[in-house]
Amino acid sequence: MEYTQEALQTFKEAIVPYKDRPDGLLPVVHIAQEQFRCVPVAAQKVIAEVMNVSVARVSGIVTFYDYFTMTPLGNHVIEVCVGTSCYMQESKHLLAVASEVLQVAPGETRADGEVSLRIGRCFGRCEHSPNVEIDHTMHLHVSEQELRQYLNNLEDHS
Amino acid sequence: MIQELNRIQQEVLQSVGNKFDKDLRHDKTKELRIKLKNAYIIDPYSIDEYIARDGYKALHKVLFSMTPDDVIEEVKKSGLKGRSGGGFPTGMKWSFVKKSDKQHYIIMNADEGESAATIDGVLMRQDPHCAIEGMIIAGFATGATIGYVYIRYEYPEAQRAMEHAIEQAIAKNLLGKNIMGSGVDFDIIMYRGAGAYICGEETSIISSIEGLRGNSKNKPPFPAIEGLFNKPTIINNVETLGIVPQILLNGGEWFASMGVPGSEGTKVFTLTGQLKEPKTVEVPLGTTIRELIELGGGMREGRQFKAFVTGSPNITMLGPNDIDMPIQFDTFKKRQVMVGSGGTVFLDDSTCLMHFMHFNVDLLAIESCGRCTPCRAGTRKMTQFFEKIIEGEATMDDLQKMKDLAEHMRDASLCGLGVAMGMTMYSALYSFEDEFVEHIRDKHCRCGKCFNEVAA
Ligand SMILES: Cc1cc2nc3c(=O)[nH]c(=O)nc-3n(C[C@H](O)[C@H](O)[C@H](O)COP(=O)(O)O)c2cc1C
Ligand code: FES
Repeated sequence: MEYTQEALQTFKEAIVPYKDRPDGLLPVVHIAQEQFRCVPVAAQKVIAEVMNVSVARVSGIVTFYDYFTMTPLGNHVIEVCVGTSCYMQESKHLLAVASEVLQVAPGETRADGEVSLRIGRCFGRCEHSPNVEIDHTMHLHVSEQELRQYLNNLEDHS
Repeated sequence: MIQELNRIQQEVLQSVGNKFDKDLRHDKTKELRIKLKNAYIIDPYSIDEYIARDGYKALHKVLFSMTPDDVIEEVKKSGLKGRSGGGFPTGMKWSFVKKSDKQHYIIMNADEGESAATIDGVLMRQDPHCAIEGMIIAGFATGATIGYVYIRYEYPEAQRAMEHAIEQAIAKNLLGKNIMGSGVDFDIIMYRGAGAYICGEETSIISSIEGLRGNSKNKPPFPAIEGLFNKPTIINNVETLGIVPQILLNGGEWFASMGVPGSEGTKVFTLTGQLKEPKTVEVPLGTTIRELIELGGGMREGRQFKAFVTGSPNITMLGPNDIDMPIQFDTFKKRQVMVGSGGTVFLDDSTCLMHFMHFNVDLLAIESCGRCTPCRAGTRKMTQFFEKIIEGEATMDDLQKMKDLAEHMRDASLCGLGVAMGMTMYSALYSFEDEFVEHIRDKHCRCGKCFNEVAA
């Protein structure tokens, strides 16, 4: 994936205010993930330059955390919780259903860039398990039927 | 300033009607709502409503009539122990800080990485000011003027509520420079994690904020001596800090009068798993497992209670014979069981323990930061042992190897993630050794889940 000079310049301006903050690295990686839907090497280089650290150090952070990705997330992000409480309510089955309906492996983004299927590790709504988050909207107590409906609606509108 | 707080309180009380009279306890005799006294009752986006419930009065009292040592003494008197799971005495932790003119920090651990736990999330979403007030008081007691809230990525709603509450507190001069004219400064920085279970461990949080991979660090030095940016740092859980204002307002003895000696006060638990009605409750410590099951509506129809599990994925457990055991730090410790951060999973007799353990140990292998070998390699090896058991290929010799490995991880791992394997295996074998042996020696699974299918 190519990024325009303009996009990288906008990003640079957004992170300059963090340049002298000793706690600034993680927040600027978050900014990259939000702007590019991932943290591409091009953005890692900008971060390294602005924050005055090596690209290796930035890359070390990007690869450590589950929520940072090196390839762009899909236009729709579906996250099925497989935390312990949801797991006890058969959420692995929901994950398999989502994978089958969306035609994408858990943890992956579909080749057409339309959807990403993520594995959640507890949303803190465990008394309502099983839970699924779709494009930042939390769905509680989700049945297989409801999940299929949500996913079909997504595909219809995309 | 106290007049101002009183004025706001009166104003709100005159206009809210009977909103504050709501009693949300699921069971009037078993539940005791202290930390949850405001949750789902006040509007979390209204600082005035928090003030109307005696909010920020403890802070005023602390700033204008107490010394930092007085505050620490009062917290010690309350018996408060850290609510993140380990149960470390909070007052004692605060007293480890040697005051100096160096920058000191407080970190509020809002990572709530234990899955099946909702406590910190509920507090931050529903009563954000209690944690903020507690943090400022902790800062005053330990000489810190900057507080970080390290909040997990999965909690955007809680983050919004906290950010809004911080703005409101600053606008009322209850936070920021020269708080209420006392000359005391305290600033709070919201800091978002990015999805890593290990970043709930205190030294990993420090690595994370310092812009390193979230690996845990060697202790000593302990954070209270050399923590964030090598400066004295106190790290406490949200629930721990959230109760601090009420302890200071009502006195340590008030808090110590609840619960049982050695396990003072209340604890919030999320009851999940194979119960009829999973829910979040607050009970005095000393409550028994049976009472929690009753609060959760009982086990599912036609099913028997099998195990009470705390702290996943770093699980420890009790078995059917322990159903009347009170939840206390000391009795649990004797059985190498953690009280945990409040996430609990109840298993019934339809759940195969080997599958359940495989699920959790596998998660540990994924989440191990990889810095130390006992944990990095040990969690993977342990996962393989459980796979062998489930597939019917394990031998009694393997069982001995699992015990040895768990002890080795306990003794040699760098942080709690690996260390806890000792407790996990000890507590599992204490109650369920027969189920291990049935699987391994007799190739028999009482739930009919093993030997013919791959680990789910
Ligand atoms: C692997 C691991 C994960 C942890 N995760 C959390 C967490 O998510 N939240 C938390 O408050 N404490 C967590 N802890 C405990 C912290 O290291 C620390 O002891 C705690 O924040 C201290 O707070 P307290 O004294 O108020 O209990 C974790 C510990 C370990 C070993
Ligand atoms: S385990 Fe799924 S929300 Fe907690």
